[in-house]
Amino acid sequence: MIGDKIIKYNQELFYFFSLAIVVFFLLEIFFPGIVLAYFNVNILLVLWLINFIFFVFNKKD
Amino acid sequence: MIEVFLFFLLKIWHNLNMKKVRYFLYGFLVFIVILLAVFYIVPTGKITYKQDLSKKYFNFLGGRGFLHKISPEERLLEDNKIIGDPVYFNFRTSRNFSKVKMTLKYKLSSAVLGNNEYLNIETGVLMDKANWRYNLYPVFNKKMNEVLNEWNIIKNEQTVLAQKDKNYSSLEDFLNQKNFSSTVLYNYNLNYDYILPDYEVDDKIVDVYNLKGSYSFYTYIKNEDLKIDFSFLNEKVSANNQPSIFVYYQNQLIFEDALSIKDSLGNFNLFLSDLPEGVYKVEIKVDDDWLTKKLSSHNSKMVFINKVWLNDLSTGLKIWSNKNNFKIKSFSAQCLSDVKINNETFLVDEIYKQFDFSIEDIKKEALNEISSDSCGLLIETNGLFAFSEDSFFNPIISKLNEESDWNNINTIIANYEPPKQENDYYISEIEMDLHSAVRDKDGYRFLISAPFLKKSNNNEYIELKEINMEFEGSNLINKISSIINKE
Repeated sequence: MIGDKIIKYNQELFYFFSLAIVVFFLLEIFFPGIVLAYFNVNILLVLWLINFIFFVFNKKD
Repeated sequence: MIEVFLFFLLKIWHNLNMKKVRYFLYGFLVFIVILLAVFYIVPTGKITYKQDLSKKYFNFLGGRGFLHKISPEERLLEDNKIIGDPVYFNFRTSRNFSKVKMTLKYKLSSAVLGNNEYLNIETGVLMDKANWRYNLYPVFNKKMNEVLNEWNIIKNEQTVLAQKDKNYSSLEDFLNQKNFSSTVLYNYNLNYDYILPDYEVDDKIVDVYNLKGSYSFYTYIKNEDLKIDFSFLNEKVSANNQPSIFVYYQNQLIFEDALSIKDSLGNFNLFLSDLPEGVYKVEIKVDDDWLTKKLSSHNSKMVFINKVWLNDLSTGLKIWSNKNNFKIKSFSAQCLSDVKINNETFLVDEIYKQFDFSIEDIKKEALNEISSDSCGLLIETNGLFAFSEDSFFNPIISKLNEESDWNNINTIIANYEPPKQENDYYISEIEMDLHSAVRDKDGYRFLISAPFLKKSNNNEYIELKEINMEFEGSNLINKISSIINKE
């Protein structure tokens, strides 16, 4: 039961991280420096990757 | 305690539903985007960036910041100790600002303080990219710090009048008496009516040949027209960076023109009439591909300011200067030659190397003659040059520098705020005007100049601890209203 819930929230987090990466990427293209000056996006990418691995290995068919 | 915490955590976990999590996550993303937009637009027009340069650890969460690396690396030790002069850094801002207050926290090594009688540190912002021109502002001046402690001081807003013996009760009184022979200036532009005694108009034409790049000179007018003919040659035949000419009277721009020379050769005749008697500064701004083949001044007095760069000379050069020390450089192997300053001979035997030559200053008021058979040299000094003894005149009040003769200085006028001291560190606040400053994709470009750092001794350094930049510009409402008014 708890496992199912974790998988569902992880899925939601995965979508959130993916959207954040796309939004930051577009912001940085149109307004250079807006994100990178304040925040190291590599951290977001690492979190997204961890999430992605978890997401792939626990995906319910 | 831990049980209570775990209990609450479990309670939150049970009460959580997907909708709440989704709202929270996307709400958070929207909040971050709004926050970044506010920092980017700076709607209030004011923003402060702080950079701690003494931090040695890597902040893995933080971004790249706004200060882009102090360079060149060979003039630095441990990233924040300056051992050479000058060093540069960029400050990437998201928008334009009209001014900045830079606060520098720094330490001077004991070797720097002990070994140098005259210490002058300046900072500046790039104003002209083509000519690599910076507007400089004082950060630290050891002599000025001593003078402010020991001499009689009269402060008028930002301006300081320092008198060895108190003869004047206000800055205005001092400026009204017109004798500035024992006065030096420091970071202060004094607008005064310099009158050349016994000046008479004559028909003599002063010709100067083959001046390379930008230059500026003073000329003197009395009941005559300002008339100078220029003949320019573009050695690389590029249409970009055409010569620009500026004329100033008492530090006010009275004439400017950007020339449009289609071919490699072009002429320009500067003619200004009905001018009051006085000193006029003429400035030619152009990149180094341009040569002024011939400059003919119909005004008999003409002195070049700080530098002359001569090229393609067939009969050598002969110039006069009021200074006794020169920085001389050759850019061509063919032009390597002896340089004679009065009776002393020096050798320029390496290209692109700056040679520092000086002679004993025996003739205090007289001019020093520099001559050479070279086909071209860049000669610089902290003074004036003339192409004939007759055309020389000196309208400038001396500026405080390493060579200032302290026995003959009785008064200093300065725009200078001494640094505050906090333990071993000095804190200097410098306000800079950014209206005409260059801002490109790398942001504003700044420099820190400390000419006493020769890179030869690692014990002599300036340790930068913090740089704090308070930028100020128009706020969002003013910006929008100015755009609407323009339309």
